[in-house]
Amino acid sequence: MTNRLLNWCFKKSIWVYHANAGSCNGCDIEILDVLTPYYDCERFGIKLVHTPRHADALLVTGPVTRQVRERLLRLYDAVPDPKLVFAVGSCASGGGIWFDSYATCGGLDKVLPVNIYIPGCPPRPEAILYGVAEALGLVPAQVEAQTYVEA
Amino acid sequence: MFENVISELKEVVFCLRAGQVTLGYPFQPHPPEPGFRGVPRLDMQKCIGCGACANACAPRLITLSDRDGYRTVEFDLARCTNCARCRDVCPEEALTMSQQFETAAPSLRNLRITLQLRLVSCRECGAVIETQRMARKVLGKLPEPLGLSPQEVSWLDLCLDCKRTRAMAEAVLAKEVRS
Amino acid sequence: MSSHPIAERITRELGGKVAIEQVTEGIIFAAVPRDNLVEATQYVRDQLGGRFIISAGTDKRGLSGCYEVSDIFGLDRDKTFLLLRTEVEPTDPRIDSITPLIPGANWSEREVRDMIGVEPVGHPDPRRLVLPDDWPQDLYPLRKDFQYNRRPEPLPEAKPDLRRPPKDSSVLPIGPFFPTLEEPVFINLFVNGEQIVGMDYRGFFNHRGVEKMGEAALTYNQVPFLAERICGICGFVHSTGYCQAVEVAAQIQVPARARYLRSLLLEVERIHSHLLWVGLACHFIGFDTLFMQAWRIREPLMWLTEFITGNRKTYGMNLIGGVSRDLPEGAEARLVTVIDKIEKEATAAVDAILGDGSLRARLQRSGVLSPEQAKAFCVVGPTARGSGLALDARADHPYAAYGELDFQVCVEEGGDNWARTMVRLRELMESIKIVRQVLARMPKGPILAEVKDIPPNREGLSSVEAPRGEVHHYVLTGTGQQAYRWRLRAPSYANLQSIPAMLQGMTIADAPISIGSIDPCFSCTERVAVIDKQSGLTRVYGQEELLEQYRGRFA
Repeated sequence: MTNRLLNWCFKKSIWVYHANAGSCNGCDIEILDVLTPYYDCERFGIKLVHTPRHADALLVTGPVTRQVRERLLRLYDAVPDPKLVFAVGSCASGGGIWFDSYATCGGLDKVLPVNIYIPGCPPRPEAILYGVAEALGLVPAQVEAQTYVEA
Repeated sequence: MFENVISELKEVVFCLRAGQVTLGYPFQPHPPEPGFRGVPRLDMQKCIGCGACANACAPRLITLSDRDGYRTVEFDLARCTNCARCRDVCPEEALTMSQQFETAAPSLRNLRITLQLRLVSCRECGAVIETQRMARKVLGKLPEPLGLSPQEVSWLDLCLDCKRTRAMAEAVLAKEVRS
Repeated sequence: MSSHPIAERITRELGGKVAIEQVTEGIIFAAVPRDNLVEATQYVRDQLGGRFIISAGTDKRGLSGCYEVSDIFGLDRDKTFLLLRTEVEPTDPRIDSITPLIPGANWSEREVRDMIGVEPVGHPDPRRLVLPDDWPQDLYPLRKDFQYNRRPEPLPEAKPDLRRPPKDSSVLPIGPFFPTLEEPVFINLFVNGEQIVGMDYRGFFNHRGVEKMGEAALTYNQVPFLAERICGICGFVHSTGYCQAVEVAAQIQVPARARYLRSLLLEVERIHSHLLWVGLACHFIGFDTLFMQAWRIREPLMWLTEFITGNRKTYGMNLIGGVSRDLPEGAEARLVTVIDKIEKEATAAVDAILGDGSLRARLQRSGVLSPEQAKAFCVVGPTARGSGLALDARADHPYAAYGELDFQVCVEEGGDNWARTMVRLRELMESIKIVRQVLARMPKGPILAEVKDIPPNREGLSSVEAPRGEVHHYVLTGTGQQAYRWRLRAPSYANLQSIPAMLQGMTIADAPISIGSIDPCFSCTERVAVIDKQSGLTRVYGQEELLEQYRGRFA
């Protein structure tokens, strides 16, 4: 019952806080792009808020550098429950090219629990919209693992 | 002040002229341009397991490992940067960059490609030589007739070290016989 | 060794104090002993009019037994670079600081200390700059005995070392996560009421270890893809800069068509970046209408680059020796259509906002940077051009096809936010003209030179004009398929150092737009060099070794 209530709440308008955890800015620009006229996420009620206290979801980009890690954890704690965490971009999803560098933590899931991964370098604004919709259960995941064993 | 009003009027006109441009996505598809470098797709029948893609991949997400008679080629696409170097260097054109951009997934398991290919091992020492597909490809490229002695043909399923050992042994033996 | 009038002049006037090592096309390599460094730097600044670009610290213990600190200067009037190197004994890793002479060298010297461990003696602010706060002391990532993927235990209770505010002022912290900041950075504004009386900065949250990875983990042709992701907005600039530096070092001739393609994509990137900046700057001051409109105008360009290169932002086109893909069928016609529309719309938008009183009031006479300050901090790009300095790497050190193109360097006097805005808007129009020129003059032909082995121990320098200013790359080639050292300097590295001077006396409300007016790209700035120091060995593989390793794995 609570689940259904939560789902109903979320389906109305999800407010998003964008945090850059050491990203190159490519994904951040695409996130901002989702606000602009061609993609207009505000028609779904999705809004970028300026404080984590108002947020329902965190959009995190970047491989989580060592320097930013502690502040990111504090930011996560500041977002009230229930919350969703999106790893936007290849750096957040898997650490990107610098997954094993001394200065990074190797991806967002090494630091925070992630609900949805949105890989891409950078992911198109449409892909980010799709990811948010998927997290809300409105659309299914389209990528699937490919496996093959030669006989 | 007057200048200000004119400017603001111009801004209004500018916005009105632009009109509404919002795309219908996600209610209507907005496919990417042709040539878009989306999620890589591996043709499981074409890959020969050579590892050229693994050498070229900048995020180093392609790994090849040999075990129990199989070579496992694994792609961990979570950190793929869609640079398409793997596609560019593949000698078999087994990799394509699809138009897939809706890559969101709840788990990183969705973003894996795993291919297992049978290996050819040295009949003498058991060391891995190459995959069966690679062997077939190489044999397919050799001229007919092979131009090898029957003995050399019998060495085709030996690894490099064993071939060298055999060749050295033959050479020493031939020398001893002559002397 | 070919002669160069400046090299001859240095030999004549500095006598035995500076030794000219080599003169290649457009670059003078010189060596100066540690004791003469300050005198030589003063000479370069005052007599030669040299502009400090960056310092590169290299661990050459495996090659010459010493650390090396190279100061790179731009002699822009003479279209030349000067690399002044100093050897430092590992047993006494200290060097005289040149920051008192050149304030713009502040960060460079601190970074050399952080990464290599060479202490700048006499530096006015020798705090940690680049490495994370919890990074252990005495562990220097760019030394060759540090492994790039080593992650040492964090120091407990680590905190940034920030200055105390002056008397009678309070602290207004900004960041690392802040509404108008796209990237994490921590700025402490010292304020007296509404007025800013000082500031302190703790940045480098985006330090990812780029330089170390470029020399320890990746091969020559993998690095352009790493370089492209240093910054998501000016990525192509970095991959071009890197490729050009290697091409200069290895003396690779890039085919003409490839050079024109590079120029084309660089200008397209500049157009999208300036429109992006206009939108963001207006967003900072609350003018959301123009934010939306600027980004609306810009969007068709993103679709166009997706069509031409396969991705909206990360073009992935550069390889050592040229570009990997040509323009697809129909690209030129489509480019012309999109550019024409952008020009029309941008002109109409600029015309509409020029008379806007509140916009002018926010931007004029705020964030002022005088020409003297601009020179002292060695700023580049629209930040410099807005203060009357005519610096543009496309004109001063021509690269790609710019030597064959006609364009104007847009300069404004005034040094305030408005001047920098006007520079960018005029440059936007100028870039559109350059794109048309490139399309008209682009020759046919090959797009990628055949590159045999890249010889070791060669140095190359390259400056590329990014939308934010001059990006500079230095490469020292290594054995095998990897560079020995890769040093890169983003424009924001130089420009950010001028922020305290810009903000002095301003009100708090002017701070975001002043910082935004230099168009800071913290990712470029903080790319980080990765140094693998773990094993203590320099992991450089020769070709034989690599082949052996490969055969060993798969045979």
